[in-house]
Amino acid sequence: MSTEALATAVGSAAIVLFAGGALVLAPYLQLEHIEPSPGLRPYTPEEAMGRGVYVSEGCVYCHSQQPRDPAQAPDDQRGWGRPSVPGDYAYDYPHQLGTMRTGPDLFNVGARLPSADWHYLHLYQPRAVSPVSVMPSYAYLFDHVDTVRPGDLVVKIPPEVQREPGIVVATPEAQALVRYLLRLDHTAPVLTASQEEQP
Amino acid sequence: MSPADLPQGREGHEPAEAPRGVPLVVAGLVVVVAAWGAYTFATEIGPGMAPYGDRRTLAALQPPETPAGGGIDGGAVFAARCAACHQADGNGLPGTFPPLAGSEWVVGAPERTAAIVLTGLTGAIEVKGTSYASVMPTFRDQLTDGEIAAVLSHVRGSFGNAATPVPETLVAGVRATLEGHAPLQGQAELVQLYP
Amino acid sequence: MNGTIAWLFAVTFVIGAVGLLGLVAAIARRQFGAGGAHVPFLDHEEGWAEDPVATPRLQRVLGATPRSPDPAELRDRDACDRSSRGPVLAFVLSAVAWLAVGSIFGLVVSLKFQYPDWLTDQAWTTFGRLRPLHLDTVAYGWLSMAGMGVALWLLPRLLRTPLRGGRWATAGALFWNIGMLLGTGALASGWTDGLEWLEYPWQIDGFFVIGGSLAAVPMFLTLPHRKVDHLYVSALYIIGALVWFPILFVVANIPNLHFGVEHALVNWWFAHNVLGLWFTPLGLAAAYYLIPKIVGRPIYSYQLSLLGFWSLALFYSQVGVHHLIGGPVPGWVVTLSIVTSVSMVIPVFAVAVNHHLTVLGRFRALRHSPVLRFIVLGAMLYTAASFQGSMESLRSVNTLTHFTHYTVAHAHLGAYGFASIVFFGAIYFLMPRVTGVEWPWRPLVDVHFALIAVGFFVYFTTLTIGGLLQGQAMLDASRPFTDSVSAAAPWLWGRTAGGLLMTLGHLVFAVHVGALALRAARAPALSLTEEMT
Repeated sequence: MSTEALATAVGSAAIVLFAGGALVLAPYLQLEHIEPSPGLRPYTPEEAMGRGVYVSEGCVYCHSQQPRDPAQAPDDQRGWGRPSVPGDYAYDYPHQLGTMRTGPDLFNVGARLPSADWHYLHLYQPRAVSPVSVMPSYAYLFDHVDTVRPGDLVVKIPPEVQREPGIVVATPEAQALVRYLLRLDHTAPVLTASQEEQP
Repeated sequence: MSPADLPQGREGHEPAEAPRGVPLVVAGLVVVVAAWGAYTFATEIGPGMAPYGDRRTLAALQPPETPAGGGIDGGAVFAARCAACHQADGNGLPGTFPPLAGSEWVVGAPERTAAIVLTGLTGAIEVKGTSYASVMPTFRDQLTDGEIAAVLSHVRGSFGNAATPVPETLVAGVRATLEGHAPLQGQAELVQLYP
Repeated sequence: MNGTIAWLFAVTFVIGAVGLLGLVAAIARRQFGAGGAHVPFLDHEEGWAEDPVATPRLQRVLGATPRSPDPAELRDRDACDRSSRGPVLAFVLSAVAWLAVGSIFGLVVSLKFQYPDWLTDQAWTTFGRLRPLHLDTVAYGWLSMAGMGVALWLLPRLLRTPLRGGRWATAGALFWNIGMLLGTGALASGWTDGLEWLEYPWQIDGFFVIGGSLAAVPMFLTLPHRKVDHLYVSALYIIGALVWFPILFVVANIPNLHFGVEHALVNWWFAHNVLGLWFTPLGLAAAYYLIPKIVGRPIYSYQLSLLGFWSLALFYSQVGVHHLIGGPVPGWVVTLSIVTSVSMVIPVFAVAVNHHLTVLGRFRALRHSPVLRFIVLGAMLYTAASFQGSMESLRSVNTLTHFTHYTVAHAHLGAYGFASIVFFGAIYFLMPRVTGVEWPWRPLVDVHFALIAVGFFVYFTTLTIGGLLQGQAMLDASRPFTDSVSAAAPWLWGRTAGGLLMTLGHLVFAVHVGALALRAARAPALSLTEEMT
């Protein structure tokens, strides 16, 4: 290979590695030892399963999980919570920060909408509770049964939005997803009142 | 087949580049951008909140200061916390989430509604002649006394309701009484607590 | 510590930016200084124009005089095209098939904003599954495979020697297609890595790593045999792209290495580089080759090409974190990406000057050359997309446009308006050359162009307006959130209408490509080399 081609290949590789060093490696080293935010606990198995449903159903394509600072945007006034910080994501893998708000930010949806009944109905048919919503119906996360067996979680669905006849029962996936959504609460303050800016 | 019939035969020379140099305007652009970039780095990155995220401010990450009574917009609290179930017009969802508009509970004794918001409520409650069995979650830890007073006052004075505002002290009193109380078991317990 | 970082970056940045000018001057002096500049057709600038689907008037409006080709050059060129035939066809035909599939995914996704209850009985047909299927099918199936196909066709021509080891690349296309099929199945079934642009499960990514590496083998085998004194700028972009993408893809896909917000940083560093250091260099390589080829003129300035390439490498590689402006990532990383995003005006301006001044005075050719129409429109939209991107990275603008459809429109301006449209033009130019078969129905090319040009105009303008209204509603806390949904809703019909036209255009294109391929398969093309021997 000629020197010009070699120089181009090596120079290109060097530049992209430098960029990776600045954008990925340096923050990696800076964030590696970050502590989970105050009050944050690891996910329970059911919450983790619910997070898996959140990931595989692609919720991230319409919902962010990163409220901005009130100095930049009025996210807090919509009830989306305080601006998020790196420690809030200590247990999140894969990250679900998102870049789209077709629907609202969900980082504190558990604090903002603590009603499980609401979440079940909303997942079953979003337009039952929010008429202009364009969210898909997740009725396939529910079973329609004739008789309730012990342990079944029956959810109350208004008859006019019910997809199929029968009693509507939440599947384990739906229950886990709602557990995860209700757990999304990062409202605890990160700093104490007396804390000052870092030098 | 003659060579000129091939697509390749219709082509001119392989492309090349003329040695014309970098126009002055482009060179000038490089210098201007370099200067602007250096200035931006030097002014934007400095002491402050950078480790917490982009453009984070100190106050937003500290515990909220409790605003003095009357400074809270009850309508905003309603939109953020209540409207998803009870709907923006206060009419609820028939059969699922009870209405607040024209509800006898909303315009009745404010201690009762304060208790519902503070502890939550499971079990049946009859509103405007219909029985509802959904679970109302507790807002004990999510809302301050001031916010609860503001949102109750908002609800009591909206959707055609015309009841008096609720003072913050009343909410504080109910909170103290029901400290650690489990969610109310239907309207029976509510009426028993606040006859 | 943060203060030190600031000055470190400020100084590095200034040295990098201004050092570029010195670098360009030094390389150019070596190329031209010794008095041996090798610029073949400077002497007869008004060269011969070519477009396989042009009207005969193209030559006349350009004032070209008919000439018979130089037999030696013709033989070389034919040998080049024959050598790349297998891998080019493997990549291009697969790309076109994935384009058709990906467009239909996109159209269904768009329709779901109008009919949210449509196709929600099964998980795989819901928005959250089809949206990544659309992105990944067009990004990795269409754009990546088209880009590699075009690059493999360009390489022997740029190096003036037949492609060595083309079979490695053909095998690469096979691996890549297996990866695509498995990845598509995985995403449909809900098995995903969960990151935008990195959805394909890492267990499947190996097929892309192997396929991509195999596709790069011929480049490394052919480079030592090159018969040109200096590398034309298109070759630089191809070398860069084939070096960059594997590094990015592997680093970003390593499982269980990344964590929390650092995962988001590597996610967006990668995702923007797929556009910036993969689609863009491949698209620019094609544009840089075809513009002078079609209008019969040398590129305006060698020094500008160099400046454009190296400044693109330097700045584009660092812009990704502008996707996290206002996010929970260290502030200095965001600032770094904003500064480099704005600095992208340098390579973009350099490339724009170089492209448009080359065509300047010959714009009449656009009326008669459909291929040039694709390439020039693509080049113009590259300029537009890039300037828009620089603007969008400013915090004030980003606050409004972030999290809205505006960003979606912008992404399509880059990936579709620029990269896809340039690849359309390139495929129209190269297919008759690698197959020896002419396009069966030339008017279909005009139909394709009209459908996608009008369709994309409608798509982009309506989605941009809808996005701005959405952002405006979202920033006004006195309006309920649902206002941002209803404000955008009517404009999303425009997106569906535009997308429908684009999809129809792609189907026309796919049918045409398929017809040409069938003819080529039925009547193996006569080769000049065979004819002459």
